[in-house]
Amino acid sequence: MALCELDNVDKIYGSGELAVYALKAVTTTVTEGEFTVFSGPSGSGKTTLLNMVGCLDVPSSGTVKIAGTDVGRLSQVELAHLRADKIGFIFQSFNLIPVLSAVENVELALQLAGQVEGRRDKASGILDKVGLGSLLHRRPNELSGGQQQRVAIARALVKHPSLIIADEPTANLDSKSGGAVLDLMREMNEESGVTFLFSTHDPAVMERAKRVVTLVDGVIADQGR
Amino acid sequence: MYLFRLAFKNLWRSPGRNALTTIAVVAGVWMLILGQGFIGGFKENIIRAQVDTVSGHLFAVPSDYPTTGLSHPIDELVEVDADDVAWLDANTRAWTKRTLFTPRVISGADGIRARGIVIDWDKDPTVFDRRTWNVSPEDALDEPGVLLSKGVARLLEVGPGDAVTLEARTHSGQINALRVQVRGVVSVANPMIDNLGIFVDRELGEDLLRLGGKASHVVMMIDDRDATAATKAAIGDRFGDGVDIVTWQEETKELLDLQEIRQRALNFLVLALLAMSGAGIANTVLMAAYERVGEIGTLRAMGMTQRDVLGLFLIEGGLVGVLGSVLGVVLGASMVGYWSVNPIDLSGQMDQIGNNIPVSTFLWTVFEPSVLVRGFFFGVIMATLASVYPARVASNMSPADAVRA
Ligand SMILES: Nc1ncnc2c1ncn2[C@@H]1O[C@H](COP(=O)(O)OP(=O)(O)O)[C@@H](O)[C@H]1O
Ligand SMILES: [Mg+2]
Repeated sequence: MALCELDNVDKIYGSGELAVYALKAVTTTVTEGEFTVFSGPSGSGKTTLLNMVGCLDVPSSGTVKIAGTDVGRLSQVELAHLRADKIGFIFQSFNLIPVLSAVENVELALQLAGQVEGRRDKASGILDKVGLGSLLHRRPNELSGGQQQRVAIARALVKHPSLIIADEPTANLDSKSGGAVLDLMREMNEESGVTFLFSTHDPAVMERAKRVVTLVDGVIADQGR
Repeated sequence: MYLFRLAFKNLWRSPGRNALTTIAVVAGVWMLILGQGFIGGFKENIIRAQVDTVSGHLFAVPSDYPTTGLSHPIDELVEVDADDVAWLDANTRAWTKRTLFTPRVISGADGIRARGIVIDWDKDPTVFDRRTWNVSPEDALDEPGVLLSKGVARLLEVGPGDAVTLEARTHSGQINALRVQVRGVVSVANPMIDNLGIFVDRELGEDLLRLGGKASHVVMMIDDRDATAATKAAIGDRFGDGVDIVTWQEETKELLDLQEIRQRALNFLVLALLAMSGAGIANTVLMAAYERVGEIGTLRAMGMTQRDVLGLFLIEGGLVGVLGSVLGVVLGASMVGYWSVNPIDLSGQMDQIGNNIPVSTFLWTVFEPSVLVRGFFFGVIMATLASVYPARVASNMSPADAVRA
C-alpha cells in the first residue's frame, strides 16, 4: 500500500531573481515496508525532499500525501501531531537532546507521541535491542558517534512509527560503525516492517538499499524500479 | 510536566550565565523589599513620632494656633468643663491636657528660650508612651516636677538637682518668674522636644502661667488611629467655634507627602533595576534559543508543537525568575525583619538637623508580608514577560530550517 505519494512537487526557496528550485515536478510513491535511498550529489534536493515527506515542510506546489492525508491541508499543530505519532527522524549529526540521558531521549519520543504508559520499560527495552542495554544513563557526550546513532535509531523506532526518515545517517560515522548502524536499521525494517527512507551518497548505504531513487538538481533522474 | 523537567535541566547548561541573570533578579527583588521596608519605616516613624510625642491621634487647640517654629502663645486657651471631661472619658481611649509655652530658662548668666510643656503628671503617660523616654535619674518620673530635655541641659550645663529660673508671660500677659529645681533630664526620641524641650508639672505650670485649668492642647488617643474623622467631627461640635481639631493625619501630611516623592524615586529605581534584570533574562533566553536552533528543530521533528517550544523557553526564563525572586525575598525579608526589631539608632546624626522635625531618632523598617508576596510575583512575572520575545523567536523557527542548523 502507498505510504507516501508525492505528486508534481515543487519546492522553491526565496523569490524573484534569487529563487532556488530545490525540487522540480517531483512525482514518486513509497510503499509500506520499503528500505529506500534517495541518492544524488550535494545540493540535489535530498534533504528538501525528506523534509517534505517528514512533514517538516510543505511544498510550494504539488501535493504530498502521507497514508492518504494531504499534508498541505494540515495545520502546524496537526503536522506536529502527525510527526509525533507516525514519523521517526534520524539525523546526520545524531541530534540527541544533550541534557537527557540515552533512556530519557528515547522516553521523550514516547512522551511526545502520547504513549506515556510504561515508557521507561519500553525505552530501556529498545535500547537493549540496539545493544546499549548497559549505557542507559549515559548522556550523549559520554557516548561514541556510533552509540549516539543507535540511541537515535531507538528513539525513532520506539513509538512504532509508520515511517523513519534518515538524512545521511552514516555521514558522521566511520565505515565500520556506519555499516553496523545500517545493518541494525535493515534488521528493524525486516523485523517490524517499518518503512525507512534515507538520503545519502555513501555507497555502503546504497548497497544495502532495496531501492535507490536518484536525484539530480531537484529532479528525479531514476525512480530505482 | 516533562517541559518543566526539560527546562530545569536546560538551566544547568550555562550555569554561569544563568547565575548572573539570577543575581540581577535577586538585586531587583531585594531592592524592592528593602526599599519598601525602609519607606514604610520612615512613614511609620514620622507617624509614631508625631502621635507618641506631640499630637496623639487628634488634639484640640485654640483657633488659628500657629503651626510652625518656636511660637506657642497662651493668650487663647481651650477650656474643658465637667461635661467635656465626661465626654472625653467616655469617647476616647485616653486624653490629657498639655500647654505649650516659651519660657526663658535661666541658669546663672546663661538663658535660652525653650519649648515648655505643661503636663498632667499622671494622665500624660496614658497618651504619650513613656517607653521611648530615656530618663536620668531613673526615678525622675516618680514625683511631679521639672524635666529638662538633654538639649537644654547641655546648653545650660545643668543637671538633676540644679536650680533654674523659668521666666514667662502668664495667660493674661504679665511677666512672671519661678525658681525651680530640675528633677531630671529626659530624651524622648523626637528632636523637636529633645533639643529645646522642658516639661513642667501642672501645679508648677499654674503657678507660673495662671492657666486657670485651661490648656493650649487637649490631646486624645482613640482605638483605631485611622478612624479620626468621626471623633474629629464630634469633638469639634462639642468645643465649638473657638477651637480647632487637628488629626495626626493633618499634622503629618506634609512630611508624608515628602515620603511619596521618596516612594516614587524608589519605584523608579526598582523599575529600572527590574528592567535591567528583564533585559538580562531576555538576552539569556535569546542566546539560549539561538544556541539551540538545531535542538529546537529536533524537538519539533519529534512532534513538539510551537506552543510546547514557547512554553519550554518561557519556563526556563520563569525558573530563573522564581529562583532569583526566592533568593531576593529571603535576603530582603531577613534584612527588613532584622531592622524592624533592631532599629538603627540615628540620634548621633539627628542632633544636627534642627529642632522642628518631629521624627524619631530610631530608624526601623516595616515588615509587611504583602510586600514579600508582591516582590516575589514581580520578579517571576517580570522574568516570564522578559522571556516572551525570545521564546517566540524559538517557537517561530521553521522546523525544516532548524534541523539543518
Ligand atoms: N533554506 C534554504 N534557503 C535557500 N536555499 C536552500 C535552503 N535550503 C536548501 N536550499 C537549497 O536547495 C537546494 C537543495 O538543498 P538540499 O535539499 O539541502 O540538498 P542535499 O540535501 O541534496 O544536499 C540547494 O541548492 C540548497 O542550497
Ligand atoms: Mg542534505
